[in-house]
Amino acid sequence: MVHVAPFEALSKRYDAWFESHFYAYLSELEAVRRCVGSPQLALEVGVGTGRFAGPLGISFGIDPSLKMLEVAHSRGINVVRGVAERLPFRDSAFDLVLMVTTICFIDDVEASFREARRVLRSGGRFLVGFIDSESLLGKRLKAMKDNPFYAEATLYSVKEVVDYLERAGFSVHEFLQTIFGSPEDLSAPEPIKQGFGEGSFVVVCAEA
Amino acid sequence: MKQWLLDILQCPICRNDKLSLKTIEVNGDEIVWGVILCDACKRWFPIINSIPHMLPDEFRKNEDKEFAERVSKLLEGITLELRPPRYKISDDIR
Repeated sequence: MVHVAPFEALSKRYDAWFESHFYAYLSELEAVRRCVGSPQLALEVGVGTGRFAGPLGISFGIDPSLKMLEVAHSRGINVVRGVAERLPFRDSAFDLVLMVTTICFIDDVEASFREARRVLRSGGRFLVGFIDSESLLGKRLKAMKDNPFYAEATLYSVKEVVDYLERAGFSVHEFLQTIFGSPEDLSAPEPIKQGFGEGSFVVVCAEA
Repeated sequence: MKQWLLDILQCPICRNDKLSLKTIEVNGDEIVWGVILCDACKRWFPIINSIPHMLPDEFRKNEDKEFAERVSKLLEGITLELRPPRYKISDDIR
């Protein structure tokens, strides 16, 4: 929640990133799409402007930033303003919970994963998409102290994310990775591969 | 927000599922302005321009005051207090 200020001030600039890094965005979207399937009730935590929830057909979104939510709402997503550590949703309400490039801005990742598990039905899926701190892009972002979004971000390795997931009671099923080069140099969407360790963007698929 | 959203919401603080809804402005099935009331801990959560705000107390700021001033005359018998954000129902409508 302490990380809301840059998003409030720069929601348009944030959304513009997706335009200027279009192929990186498409690659991330495709990696997440392969794990999403067709859930009936799905929630994106840290929905932002709805850049993922919209095209993936995810009907519910939560975010603390009002400016971002207003954009997501205009994209037809049912939005609630709130925080990941205290979700205002009932137990077992969802078939799928998604967090994309969100954990780096969350104060208490462990609490947010416990909350994700609580709002998922038994056997429901939890997808975490993030920039691997040990990847090419991860290392570059860590050095970008003057970027208003990433200066306050905490990047995690795949091992750290898996540890948090297992502590919250999830079983990890699958890893997908993409973005193997520099995101601004791409002239087409990147391939999606199983596993992790090569791509900068990783999706961890877990089950409640 | 759509009215049916209430069926999956709960109080983010006390975890109670029994929430009440007072609508102020409705457009078709969309609640544009309204307030969500937690029957257990007596917290209130504003719906502003179709977006329900369900933040923990420590993150609630200026919107609360503006909202309470704007809607106070439209919520018969309900008083919205700011710090802490609790509501009171007057005895004659209880």
